[in-house]
Formats: sequence, structure tokens, C-alpha cells
Amino acid sequence: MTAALILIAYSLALTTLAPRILRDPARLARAPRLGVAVWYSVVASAALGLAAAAALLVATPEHSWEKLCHLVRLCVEALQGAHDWFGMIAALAAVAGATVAAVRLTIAAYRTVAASARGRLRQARLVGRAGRRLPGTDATIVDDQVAAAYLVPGRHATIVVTSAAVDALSGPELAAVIAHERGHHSGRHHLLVDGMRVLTRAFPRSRMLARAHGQVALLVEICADDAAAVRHDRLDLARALVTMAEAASASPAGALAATGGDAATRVRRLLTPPRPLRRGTALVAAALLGVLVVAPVVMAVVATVWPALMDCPGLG
Amino acid sequence: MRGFGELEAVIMERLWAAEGWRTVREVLTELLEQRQLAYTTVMTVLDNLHKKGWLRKESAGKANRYTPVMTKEEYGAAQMRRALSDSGDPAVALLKFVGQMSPEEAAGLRAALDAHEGRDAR
Repeated sequence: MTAALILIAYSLALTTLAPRILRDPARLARAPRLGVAVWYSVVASAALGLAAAAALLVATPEHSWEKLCHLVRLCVEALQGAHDWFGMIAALAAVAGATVAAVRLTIAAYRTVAASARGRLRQARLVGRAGRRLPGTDATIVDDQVAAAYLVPGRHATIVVTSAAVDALSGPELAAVIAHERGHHSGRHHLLVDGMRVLTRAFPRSRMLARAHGQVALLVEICADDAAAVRHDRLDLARALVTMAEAASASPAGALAATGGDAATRVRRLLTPPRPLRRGTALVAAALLGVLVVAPVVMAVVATVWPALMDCPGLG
Repeated sequence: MRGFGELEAVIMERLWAAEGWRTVREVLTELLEQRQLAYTTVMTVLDNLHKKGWLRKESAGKANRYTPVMTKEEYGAAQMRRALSDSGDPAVALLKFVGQMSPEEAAGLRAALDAHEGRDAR
């Protein structure tokens, strides 16, 4: 019981503190891929903490090795009231919470995947019908007065640029924009964003998930900027970004979803790129993330095994 | 507004290329050069396209004649408007090069870029 409460406290602390500590995206932007990993690790760690706590509450172990292995039997026993009434209520609450979470996640995942697949297929078809290949590139050009560029991700991946964007951008700028979208495609960035979209849909009131979603969306843009900057001038990409931002702000849909802060972060980063993390630092950070993810599981296992170990003859 | 089915698309292409009225028989004759089709099939497809509002119909003696309501360019533009309005739909989840923002925010970006380039020029 104590171990379960500690795990719940751990998860709550993580969900409260992480969004505050990681508020400024510029910090994670220095190593954007690692930044995405940070957010996924934080979310996984908090979720595993709650899951482990639920498992502990359901399977209150008698202090013997044999019973540890029989999670299912313990679960049934707990529900039949083999343990004390408080433990039973806690076990019921844990089962109920886990079920609700699982159902919400399943529905959100289904809705997100179905809606994106449908929408992306329709986009790909429309663009395929109304667009034409931009000579010398793998992009499709469609006629429109608003300068824009986007990737239709997934199986029917298509890079789309509008005719207004082709007119507004110089050759090198346009090439950098196309490289940016290609970076999204080869990095499978839509999957990273979709994952967070599923989580925020399943738990719309979580502030941590909202922030994680927003920052992952920004970090994949930065990843794509970096991918484009390998072969293209950062300044060209920055100029293209500003030109396209002006076009987007002038179009009537302007105020729908303001992401001006994201664009500002990207422009600043393109103009004065931060020193990349040293390899050693990045490796240490990645290892720490691994620890973060397994920590709640280790805690739960230790809490379960420890009393039994104490009972072993010759130990404790 | 929905896209065309496969045979519908072929027939619309023919009618757009024809520029003018065509009877079922005329469309069928042209299509028979490429594929085996029944008269009734072509007639049904043409009638469906008329019901969906893509074709105008008038009777010419015993048979009916059809012509497209909008030109191919108008159709392409309409499709495109739909594609672009879709691209603003978060459910579709495209990866846009730059998101929406206010004119003030865009002006701020331009100022930052100009300041940087001014510094470079010096």
C-alpha cells in the first residue's frame, strides 16, 4: 500500500513539475530529437508509475514467493474480499481507473487514426487530381493565392506547395522549404505528433499532455529545419519562413490556431544556431531518460520483492 | 463536393476535351477505342453525373446530350479550394511549413530577420 502511494505521488509530482521545468521550448530545441524523447519519456514514466501503483493495489502480496507470480489469482482474491476492506476498495478503484484509462485511450487512438487516415487519403487524392509536378523536384504544385507548403504524411506522402509560394520565394528558398517537408517525411514526424494527439484527446484536461503535445509539434518542426539546413542555407530557410508567415497571417483563417511563438523560436534558431550538444552529454541524457522510464517499474518490483526477500531463510 | 469515380473521371475528361455537347452514343464510340463498355453503362454514368450536378442535359431527338457544367480549370480550382480548406483542419493533421499567426507576430519575425541581415551586411 505504501509503495503504491509513493508511486502515485511520484506520477503526480512528475506531471506537475515537468511542464514547469520544461516550459521554455528553447532549452529542448538545442537537441530537438532528444527533446522529443524527453517528453515521451516523461509521459511514459508518469503513466508507468500509475500503472504500477494500480498493479500493486490489486495484487497486495502475502509475503511469500509463490503468490508473487499469480497476479491474476491475487486480483480475483482482492475483488472477492480476501484482503481487508480498505485494500478491496483501493483495488476496485485501481481496476476502475485502469479500465477508464484504457477505454479512453482506445477510443482516442481509433478516432485519431481513422480521421487522419481518411483526411490524408482525401488530401492526397485531391492534390493528385488538382496539382501538377513542380519541375525538377518531388513536390506537387497547386494553384492558390495564399503562399503555403505542407506535407500530406503517411502512405500517400505528398509535398504540396501553392503557386503563390513558388512566386513569392526565390529558387534556393523554395528548395529549402521542400527539403524541410522532406525532413518531416523521412523522420516519420507525423507519427510522433499523432502519438501526442491521441494522448491529449484521451486526457484533454491534462496540462502536462497539452504542453507535451505543443512542444513535440514545435520540436519536429525544428528537426525538419535542421534536416533542411544540412544541404541548404539556414538564412534561405529563415527568409522563406518569414515570407510564408506573412502570407499565413494575411489569410482570413489567420487567428484560428496561433503558432506565432513557434515560428519565432524557429527563426531565432535559424539565424543564430545554438551549439549542438556534445556527444557525451547527449548520451548521458539519453541514459537518464531510460532510467526515468524504468524507475517506476523498478520501484514496484522492489516493493513487491523486498518483503519476500526478507522472509527468505538466511537473509534479512 | 466529392471526387469522381474511375469511369466518371474518364468520361469527364472526354467531355472536357470535346468542348460542346455529346450524346451517349458519341461518348461510347470514343471510349470503345480503349475499353469494352456497354451502352447502358455509359448512359447510367452520364445520368449519374447529371444528377450530381456535373453535367447539363438536354434532349436531342430521341437521345440526350450532355455537356460539363464547369470547365476543367474551374473544377480543378474548386477541388483545390477544398484541399486547402481541409489543410487547415486539425483532424487531417498535415505537417504545414508554418502555422497560423497574427499580423503582429509575422511583423515581429520580419523585424528579427531584417535586424540579422542588417548586421550581416555591416
